[in-house]
Amino acid sequence: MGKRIKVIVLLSLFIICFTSIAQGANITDINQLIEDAKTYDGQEVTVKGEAIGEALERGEFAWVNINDGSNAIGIWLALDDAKIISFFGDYKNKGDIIEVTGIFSRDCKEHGGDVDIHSNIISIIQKGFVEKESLAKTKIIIGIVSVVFALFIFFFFLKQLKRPSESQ
Amino acid sequence: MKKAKNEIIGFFTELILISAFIAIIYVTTFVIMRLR
Amino acid sequence: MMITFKKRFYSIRIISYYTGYIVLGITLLMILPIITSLILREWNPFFDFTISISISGIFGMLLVLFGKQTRDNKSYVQWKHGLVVASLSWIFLMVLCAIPYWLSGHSTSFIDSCFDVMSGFTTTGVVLLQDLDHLSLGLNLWRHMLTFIGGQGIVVLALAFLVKQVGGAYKFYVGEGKDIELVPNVKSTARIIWKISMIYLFVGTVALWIDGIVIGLNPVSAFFHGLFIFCSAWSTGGFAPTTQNIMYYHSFSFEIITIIFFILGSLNFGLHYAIWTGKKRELIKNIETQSFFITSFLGCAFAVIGLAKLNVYSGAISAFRRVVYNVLSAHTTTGFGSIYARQFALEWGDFGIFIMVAVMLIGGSACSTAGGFKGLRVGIVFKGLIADIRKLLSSERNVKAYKFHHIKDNLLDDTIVKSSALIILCYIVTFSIGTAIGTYYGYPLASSAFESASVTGNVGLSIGITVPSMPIILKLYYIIAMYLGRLEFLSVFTLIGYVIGGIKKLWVKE
Repeated sequence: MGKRIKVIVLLSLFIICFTSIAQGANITDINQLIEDAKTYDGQEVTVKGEAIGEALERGEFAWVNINDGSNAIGIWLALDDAKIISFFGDYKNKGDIIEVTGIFSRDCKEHGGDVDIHSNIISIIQKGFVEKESLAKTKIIIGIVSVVFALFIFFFFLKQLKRPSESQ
Repeated sequence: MKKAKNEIIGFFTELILISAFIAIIYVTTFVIMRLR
Repeated sequence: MMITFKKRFYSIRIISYYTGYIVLGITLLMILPIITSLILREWNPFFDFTISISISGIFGMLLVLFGKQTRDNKSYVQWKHGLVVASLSWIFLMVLCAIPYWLSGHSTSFIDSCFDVMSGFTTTGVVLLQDLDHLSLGLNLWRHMLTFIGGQGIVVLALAFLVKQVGGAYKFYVGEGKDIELVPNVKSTARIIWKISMIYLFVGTVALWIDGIVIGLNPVSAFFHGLFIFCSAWSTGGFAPTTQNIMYYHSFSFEIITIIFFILGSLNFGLHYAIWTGKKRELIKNIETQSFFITSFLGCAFAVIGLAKLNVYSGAISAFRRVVYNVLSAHTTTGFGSIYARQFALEWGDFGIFIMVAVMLIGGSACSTAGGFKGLRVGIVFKGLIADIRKLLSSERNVKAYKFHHIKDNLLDDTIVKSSALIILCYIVTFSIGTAIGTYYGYPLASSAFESASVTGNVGLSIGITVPSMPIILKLYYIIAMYLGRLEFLSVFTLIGYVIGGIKKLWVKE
């Protein structure tokens, strides 16, 4: 009995370690990549960030710019891979958070010296969504009040200018 | 009419000359990188 | 004594009157972001701008009302009024136009909002605004509009369309650092500047729109990106709608189009006018374009050589897109960056940074949207030096008059050489103080110099110093440097002198 439990425990530990090694590919901050560009140049890196703007389709491939809070960088990937991204970040939307593994270039030969990542492994970590805009009631009130006030001043303004000027 | 014609010629002159300037710099860059 | 006091008080009314109209003119433009946000149902910016337009409008109207007696006494406007109106309206507008930024929540503080507005108006282009990628279209539109307006000249805008009387108009125009007289009538001159800009606005936006679609943007966003990037290029501002600036597009063709328009934008409006009215050779004969072509060519060449030595880039296209592009962007004081800010510090080396500082300070052409010493002054001082050397070497009986060609042939006399040299000196002092403050706070010398040159020359490239957490004194100084640089000192000095004079007069009671 005891021996079987030991085996199960050891096996479980082994499996956990293995999967965490596979998943725990080091995620690097984009800013870190730029700071140590020479070290990371040509290396395989993993970054995680929000897809922003839109995918710029270029034939069989596409550019997807991602922002991880520290900075933003362009990912060059196959169009098919880009198409799995459904949400891109802008004013109204929170983009998909994607994890990208690929080769980092400080001076990409293919792209005229661009700082980029050529990737063929991307996964969506968190789907994006439409951001509900929260409008503070105070803002609406102040907005209306200020317009009304401005209009009052405006009428007063017009009246004053129509009047022939008095002497000093 | 002459005025409009001058404006169009002027507009294109600017575009062409600036493009030529950029081309010259590009060629120079190319030469420098080759010689390095 | 009583008369003096009354005259001074009257001056305040004149200044108030015109400043008020300029404030109102710019305030009206807030309608555009309001409409945009309304159509796109961006409610927060809609209300942000509604509140701002109201506050700004009220302030402007009160200013005009305070000075309303001026209506009937317009001929009394003097030079000092013009200069003070120009410099004062910029300060008021900086605060008023910062309101929508601050309300949006994307600024870390109100000072940061003012910083971004001043950066826009002066067509500098350094950014403190956070999270650009999630900015509303209304606010993004406003940012780029500010560079376009500021580049044209806020006063020029007012002159062209609002001020009914021409009277002292020329004095306001000069107060903003433009002194080229395209046609005798200042109002017509202002209108022509706007006509040329509008035509290029159309052509440029369409060009970038089409290229945008070609490089993969969807048609609607390609239009807005095209519009914004054009405004930023023509005004040599350097703002872009996203965090990555021009790198967002990953496109050589897009970059080239921007180069064409930012170089054109950095040229003197008088030059455009001359070329567009048949004097094509002006583009080559003019001392400013000659100066620019020489210094920018040399700057690019040396930068490429310098960076090639450090093996920063391996190919010619890379060298062109990442070195030449940035040198041209810096020289025209645009500020579009095709590399990350930190890369300047990490990869360019001191020689590369030195070249950047030099071209940023030299700047673009006079009476354009560009900043810096201006090619005209550099050319004049250089020619003045040559002339002096020649005078020393030639026989005493030979009295030669030296000339330079700028639109027409002009006499290269001592007065003009002196005034050019003095303004260059002012720029150098402003730049030096900025560098000193940077080093005081611990930033490396090269980086401090780079950032200081960028704000003084209204360039907009950053080496990484400009962030919300930067020392507040440095932040405030950069705002002042951008302002001084753009207005070319005189009007600001006049404003300061006027204020000090006023305080003195009030102090010494009659």
